[in-house]
Amino acid sequence: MSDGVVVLGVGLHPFGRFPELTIDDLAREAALAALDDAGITFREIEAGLVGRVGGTGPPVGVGTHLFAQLGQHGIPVTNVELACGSSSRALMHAADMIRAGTADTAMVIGVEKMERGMLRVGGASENYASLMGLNVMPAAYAMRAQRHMADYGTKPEHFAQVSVKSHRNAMSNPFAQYRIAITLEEVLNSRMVCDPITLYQCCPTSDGASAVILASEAFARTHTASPVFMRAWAGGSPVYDNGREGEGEGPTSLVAKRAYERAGIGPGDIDVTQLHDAFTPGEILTIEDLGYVPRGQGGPFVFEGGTEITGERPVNTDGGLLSRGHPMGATGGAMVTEIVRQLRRQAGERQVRNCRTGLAQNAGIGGVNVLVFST
Amino acid sequence: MVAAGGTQRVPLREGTFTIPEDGGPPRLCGTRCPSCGATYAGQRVICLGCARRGLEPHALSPSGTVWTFTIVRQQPPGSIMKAPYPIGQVALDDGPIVAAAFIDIAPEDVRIGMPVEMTLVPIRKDDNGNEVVAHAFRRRKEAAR
Repeated sequence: MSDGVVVLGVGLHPFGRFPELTIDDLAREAALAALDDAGITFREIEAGLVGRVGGTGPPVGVGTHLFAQLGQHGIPVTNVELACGSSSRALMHAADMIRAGTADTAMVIGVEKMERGMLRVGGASENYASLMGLNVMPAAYAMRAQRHMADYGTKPEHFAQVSVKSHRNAMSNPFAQYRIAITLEEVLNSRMVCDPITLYQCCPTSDGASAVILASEAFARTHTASPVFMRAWAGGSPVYDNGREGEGEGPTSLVAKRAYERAGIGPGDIDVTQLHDAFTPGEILTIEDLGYVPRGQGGPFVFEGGTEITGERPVNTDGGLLSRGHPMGATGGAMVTEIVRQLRRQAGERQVRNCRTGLAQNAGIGGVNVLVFST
Repeated sequence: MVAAGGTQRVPLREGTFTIPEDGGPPRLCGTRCPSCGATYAGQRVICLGCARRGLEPHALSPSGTVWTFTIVRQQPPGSIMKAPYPIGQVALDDGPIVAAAFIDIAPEDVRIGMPVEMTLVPIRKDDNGNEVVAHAFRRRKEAAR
């Protein structure tokens, strides 16, 4: 392909809690790391996009504010908000610009600073859902998990195993929020939050930033001999199905099908995957949606090690949202960073063998994105 | 509807559900497509099935079954529910699936497929002394309706 889109540089600010740092600090460090990784200067960036949900710091014009600190040479800067899927959607738009020829290079910064404690959705005002205690973030995943358990016999320990694996993977990721091993018993015996989800099956709130530089293939060829291509991307919003739980984040199976078609591949071609495990059921449900295993077999597949780094289908090799952390706006870019490191054979102890094609699935309230990468 | 003590019962948010004068069960306000018959929870203008513009008001079935559920173990701020409490989604008999607070059901007793029906719970008194009520679901008393 001569009109390909290349991921030229990736960079992160570590994920965790950094009360002394602003989003400016987080974003700048990630952006500079990505520029260094790409081997270019900021003056060579032709478009800027920022994925961020909100919280502390400037609410309006955040993208221009962040990019202005890196340099000011008049590039278009665009804010993209898709809740937890913000920076992956921003990457799709950046890739569209490059494919359309309106920019040769684009930088996507994802950044977030979050408060401790359970994420509040729907605001604090007296409304029906908050009054009746329905606005509880883990409950959405818990209800999908309950349905999966009833329909397919999935067990609590299947979900818990996702957290055991993600914690183990994060131990060799210096950018991860939690780098501690945890046993199945510890996960199952941690405080129950929303049955069957225990505390250690919930991702943390986090501070952090990611930056990804995309370039046209022609530009990239002058900077790297072994480019990683962003081959295909697809996004979607919910498909109405009588109102049942799971619609809020959109149709992963439909979006994945589109992405596979655009890439000219099938689910069997994916060697490494980063997916949206805000809570442990995310991994089990999503590997089914992506077509890696038949519907209903996600639980036993994960429990038997199928998604381990050494397994048949490595998933969330960097610790995922559960252990790497989930600063909402930064998450999509972090997923892509890990995919690129895997495809470049730079993942160290986390390296997946024979890794040529990678997939990122990033979901947020309102939509889902699937991005396919290959060497 | 007149509650004990002669006060009126008023919905937490007008237009969410109806309180029949005849003592019949409260029903959620939904919409129905006169063309294709698709039924929706809440107020829609355009049919998701056939794209018809202009749907009719439709009082949804007060009974259904538990589609899925969980037990909330951590007390959320600002809620009248006391953790642990069950919440879920109810598949109403006429189609739509709606978010549901459950009352008078022990958390550990909730099961997928359990028959439930709509009921009203008192929230507070308003400035006129009326009882503000919200909807919830309880175990269905009759076997079938």
